[in-house]
Amino acid sequence: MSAVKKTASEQLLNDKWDVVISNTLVKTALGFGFGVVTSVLFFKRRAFPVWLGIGFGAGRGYAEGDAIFRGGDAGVRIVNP
Amino acid sequence: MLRITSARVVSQQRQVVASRLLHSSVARLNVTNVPPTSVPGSSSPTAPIENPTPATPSTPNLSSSASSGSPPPRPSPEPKKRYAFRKFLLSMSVLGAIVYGGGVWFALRNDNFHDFYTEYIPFGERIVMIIEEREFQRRFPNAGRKPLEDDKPRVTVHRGGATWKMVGDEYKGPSTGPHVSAVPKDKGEQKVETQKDIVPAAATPVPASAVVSPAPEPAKQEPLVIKETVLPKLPKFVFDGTIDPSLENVVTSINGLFTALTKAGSAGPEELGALAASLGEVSNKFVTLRAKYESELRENLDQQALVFALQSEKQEQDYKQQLAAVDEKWREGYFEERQRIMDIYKKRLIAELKKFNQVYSTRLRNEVAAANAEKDKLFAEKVVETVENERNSRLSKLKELKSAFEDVTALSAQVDSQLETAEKTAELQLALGSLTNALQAPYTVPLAPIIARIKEVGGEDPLIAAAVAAVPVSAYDGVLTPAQLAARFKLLAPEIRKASLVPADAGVAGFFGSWLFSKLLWKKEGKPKGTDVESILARAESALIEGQVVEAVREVNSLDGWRKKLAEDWLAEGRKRSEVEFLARVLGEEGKVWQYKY
Repeated sequence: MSAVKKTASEQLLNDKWDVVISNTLVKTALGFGFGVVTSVLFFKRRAFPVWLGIGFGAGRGYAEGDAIFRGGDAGVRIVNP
Repeated sequence: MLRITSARVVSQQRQVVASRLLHSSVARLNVTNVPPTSVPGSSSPTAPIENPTPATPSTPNLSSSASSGSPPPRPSPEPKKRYAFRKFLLSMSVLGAIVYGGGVWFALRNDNFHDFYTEYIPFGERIVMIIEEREFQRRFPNAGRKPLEDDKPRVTVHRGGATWKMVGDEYKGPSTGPHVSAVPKDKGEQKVETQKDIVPAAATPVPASAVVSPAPEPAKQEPLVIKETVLPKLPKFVFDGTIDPSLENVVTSINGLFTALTKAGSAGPEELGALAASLGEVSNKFVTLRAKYESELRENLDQQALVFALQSEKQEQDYKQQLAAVDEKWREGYFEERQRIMDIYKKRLIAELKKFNQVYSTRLRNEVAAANAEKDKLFAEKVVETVENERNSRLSKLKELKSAFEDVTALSAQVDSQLETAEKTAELQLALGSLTNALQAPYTVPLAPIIARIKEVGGEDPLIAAAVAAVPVSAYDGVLTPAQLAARFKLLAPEIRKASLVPADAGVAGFFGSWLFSKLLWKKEGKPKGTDVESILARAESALIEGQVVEAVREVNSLDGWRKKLAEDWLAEGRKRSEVEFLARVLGEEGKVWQYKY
């Protein structure tokens, strides 16, 4: 009964969690990267830009996760089968 | 700023404490040549410790040294601190005033800045509005008051000398008579006299003018004014040839009168008598002339009367002849017409008679024919009667045979139809049985051929047709068995549990919390009462174990929100199964009814 790409309704949340977690990780890593670069270039290798970057990344990921769970498409492109 | 200040203060305090400790220890060690104004905080390793004495009780020495000793003069930030706040306030207010004032001034000059100022600076708009209103009041102090009530134009024009006056009641129309000064004074008198005197007299001597009037006609109406006071000089008549010679006498007598009048002022009887005599002569002449003319006229009239009479007679005769001729003509015409009409009527009469004869003859012929037909019919009846009587019994027997034959055919048809229906019922039962078997099989069986067969067999029955039409199209490939549904439910339940505590409009935190705390929920079994997720799941599970798909679907359907969304697929399958079960039951009942129908 299920088409090739159609997901069972039980897996809805799991799919969403996958997306949210992966998105958060990616963004956190990006933030970390930017933080490192900034710290090296502008802030004389101090620690706080790195933490700042991680915070930005994690925050973005969290916010987008919120939006995804609430039904929005923020940050994620959903392709309908 | 604050943090730096506090760091500084902290560091200062640390230094103070350090210096105090140092000095207290120095005091304990009785070192005297420590300079009192050493920089606090700088460790003075250069101060030699000369007399290492045992440690005296530290606290009193510490306190005493601390109090009596020479503490380094603190930079005493307190006086500065005491007024710093006030200074700060003062500077802030001055700065604010400058900024606001300058901003307002600049805003009134520049439009872009004005927009920015009113939008972003708090109370900026208010201040600008107040100032603008004041300026406006200053420039237009009368603005805002009520407008003038009379709307006549305020421009007044000096009237000068010209005035206007309405053409009103004083005007009476153009005057009909002459101008005031032109009306003659005694014209009225003259007019009155004119109406009275119709004297066939000579010309009127108007006081002013002396007009010669050559025509003494009797119709002259000018009055004869004789003024006794003033006697004008009367002229003599000029006999210039325009006057009739027979009036010569009259003229001379008048001339005599005039001369008498001018001479004497009054007329003597001789002249008057002469005048009268001449006038009498004239009148006699008139009379004779008139008589002569009258007689002539009468003669003429008589002649003409005669002539007219003759003419009228002649005309009368002519008319009579004409009338007679016309009369003759009309009479001839009348006779001709009468003859013609009579001919026409005769012809018509002949034609009608002919037609009537024809009609009558055909009618008679028809009657004859009818009579013939009647005769024939009677004859045929007679024949049939006779034949009937002869073969009485045999004919009736034929009829009986025919009716019996018809009965038999009807009976056989009935039996045939009953056999048919019985066959159909059997087939329907078979099909329904196969449907039930398909539903009870342990694996999914495609239902399309079975339903097609049911439709084929029982399609005429409206209930069966409706039931077959109501089967969902997605069920044609088969429905899940209760066991399969139960297995799927076992996969579904943990997902529902994960979402069981999700609040409305939840985000990451909501879902995460739900996942975490749902692990702490008690798992229920059996048929617990309650509307929470665990009870519902337990009831659904026990219904599935018993094979009650409908119950299980009902329970799962009572979920809401994310739980229901997760269970949608399972619910669809469950609904399909329940629908097909229900329809199969209905069809089974209908099949049973069929058995008893025929």
